Amino acid sequence: MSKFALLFSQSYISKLKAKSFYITTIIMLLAVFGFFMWPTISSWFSSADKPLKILVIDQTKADAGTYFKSGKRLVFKSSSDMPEQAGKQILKGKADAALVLNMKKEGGLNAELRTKKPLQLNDQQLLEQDVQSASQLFTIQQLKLTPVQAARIMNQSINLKQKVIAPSADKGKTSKEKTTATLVSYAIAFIIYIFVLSYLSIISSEIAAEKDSRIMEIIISSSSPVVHLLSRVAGVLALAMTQFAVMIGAALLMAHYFQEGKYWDLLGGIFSTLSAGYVIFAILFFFLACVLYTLIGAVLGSLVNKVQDVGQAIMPVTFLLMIGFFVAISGMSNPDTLIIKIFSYIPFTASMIMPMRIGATDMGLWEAFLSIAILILTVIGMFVFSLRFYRGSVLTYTNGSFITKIKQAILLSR
Amino acid sequence: MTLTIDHLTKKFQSFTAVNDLQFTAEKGEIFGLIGQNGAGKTTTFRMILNLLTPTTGLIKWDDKPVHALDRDRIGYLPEERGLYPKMPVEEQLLFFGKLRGKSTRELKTDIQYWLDRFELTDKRKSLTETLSKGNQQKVQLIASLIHKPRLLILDEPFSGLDPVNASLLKDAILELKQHGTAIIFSSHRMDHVEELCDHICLLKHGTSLFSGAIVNLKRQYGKINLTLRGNFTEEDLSKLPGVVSVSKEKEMYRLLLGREEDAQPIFKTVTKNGFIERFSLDYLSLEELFKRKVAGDHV
Repeated sequence: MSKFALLFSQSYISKLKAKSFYITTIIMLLAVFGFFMWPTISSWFSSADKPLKILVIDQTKADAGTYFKSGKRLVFKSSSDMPEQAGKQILKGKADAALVLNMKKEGGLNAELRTKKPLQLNDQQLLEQDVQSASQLFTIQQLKLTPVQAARIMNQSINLKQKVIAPSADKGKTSKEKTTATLVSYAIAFIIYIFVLSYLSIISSEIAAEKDSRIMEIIISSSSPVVHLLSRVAGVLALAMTQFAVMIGAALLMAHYFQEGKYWDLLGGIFSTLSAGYVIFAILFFFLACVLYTLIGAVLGSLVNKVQDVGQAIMPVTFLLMIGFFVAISGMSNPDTLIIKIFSYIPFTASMIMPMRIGATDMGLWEAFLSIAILILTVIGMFVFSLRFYRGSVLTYTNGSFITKIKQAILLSR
Repeated sequence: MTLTIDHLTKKFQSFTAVNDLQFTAEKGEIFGLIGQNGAGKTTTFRMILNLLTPTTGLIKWDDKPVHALDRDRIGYLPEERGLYPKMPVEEQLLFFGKLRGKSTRELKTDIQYWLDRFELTDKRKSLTETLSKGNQQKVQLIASLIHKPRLLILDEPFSGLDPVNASLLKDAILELKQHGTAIIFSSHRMDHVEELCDHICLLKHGTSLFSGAIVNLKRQYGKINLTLRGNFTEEDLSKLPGVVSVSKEKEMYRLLLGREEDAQPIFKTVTKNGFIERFSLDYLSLEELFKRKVAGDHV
């Protein structure tokens, strides 16, 4: 067995057998399970909630109350009581709220809600929607439009056709494609964030522990710094990919078998919307992000003196990741901003942001290639750079800033 | 099978860690590298191991540059011990053996042999972190020699071992020597160095103060270490010609002479009244020589 294979399998298998790996995998699987079971789980908790009974006191003398249609959460009951009487009923608990309707001077509907206690946010939002649509209908009625005219106002379907007139331009993506890609890209950014965060500390701790215990000196003196660095990076990457495969596999199985395959169809829908190019780019970006950050983790681990210092050392990198993630979140509402464009080229954040731009904007494909080229060059540069002082850094036990440590490590590597 | 260190110098910017070092370690020889902390021992080891590149000078193994030497032929016990805490002892030894290119089959019997020898057989399946410090050190030592190296480097192998284990370790080192392994080791314990080594190199601030056979170092000073027991006073003895210093240890007087030739007149003087219980003349111990050399020759 070659030394690389030996070191790789030792690194991979020891971590695969570690309790921490089982625990994190189980937590991730539970999260996936929770996601697919959410409709069922949430129904357990909300089944106890009775719908709200709302008395509608119509003082418009124009039958505005009839526009309120009961739904699952809100049940409207027309009442001829005066607001004060209704108030008493609410206090007695016979109803949850009373909605008093009045006509505005200039036409339109004025509504006032009387409750015993404030409504929950989602009920409040539902009621606002109901009042809004009732108000529209009421206004239409006040304008004495014919039913056909009214229907035309209410059932306006938006039909915006884009026509790009520059001769060479792409014809652009539909808004459905863009929305789907935004959501999928957000999920990718989230997965990258979670994975990189956990594997970053795994690799830096591993290397710091080997350095701290001087095993590193034995390994490097019997193989070489390149073999050691590569085997550790490959071992951790293999572990990350294993966990990723387990998660994806479990998610697909659950999607297929849970909720009568509702999610399976949903996934099918999503994938049919996404282009093959997008999927390939997303996978490439995810993988390269893992490689880049594993390498950074390895270098940071080789520079600290003790395992305890790892947390502190990887802190700046965690911030970098968080920035990338937050920029990705900001892209959910508008993926076309300048900040998104800038961060989609920075190699440390590109993986979280570029997929969103590829899928949700009409940018040229060359931009994606450029960004991935920058990322690959950074990975290679990082690798060459870290090898320059890796041999020295594992022998450096001085305190001081990272710059001093790197300087000293380069000195020792000569 | 000779390791030759030829005018070896290692500088870190303005600091010289090792300065023009020269020595050779032959096949089947135990070579001691001694010096205080920071004398340059570990730096020298790291250069032999190709972890550091010499500023100038050469390290040769059988007249070939050492970096051409098959890494699998070297064994190394670092000063600060390193093992995987969560790995069972046997697995650990297999890992380090395979790292030096041995197959599992070859290793199994050797691991059994060395575990028996170091009284660790019952710990085969134990996690390394559950072992006592001394036992961990024995495991580490086995890990450094399990692949039958031709050159074995031991950095402070005795630190933290009790006398029983220290003698187990000594026996093991002697066994490897008989099999023709060249062994270089560093130690603060001069008694161990004196017992095991044929040749030594004495380092101070990276510079060699002496390099060669221990006997030659002792002969440089001659037999100036005189022990007396009898009816004397410290004052009388210190007045004797040629006596540099007198000290009383338990019931004996230890006299340090200026020259070996001073001993005979002293013998005549102290025996002029007849019987004395003890008169013994010897070389300085390695520890005394070490202190003298390091402190700057005349104490």
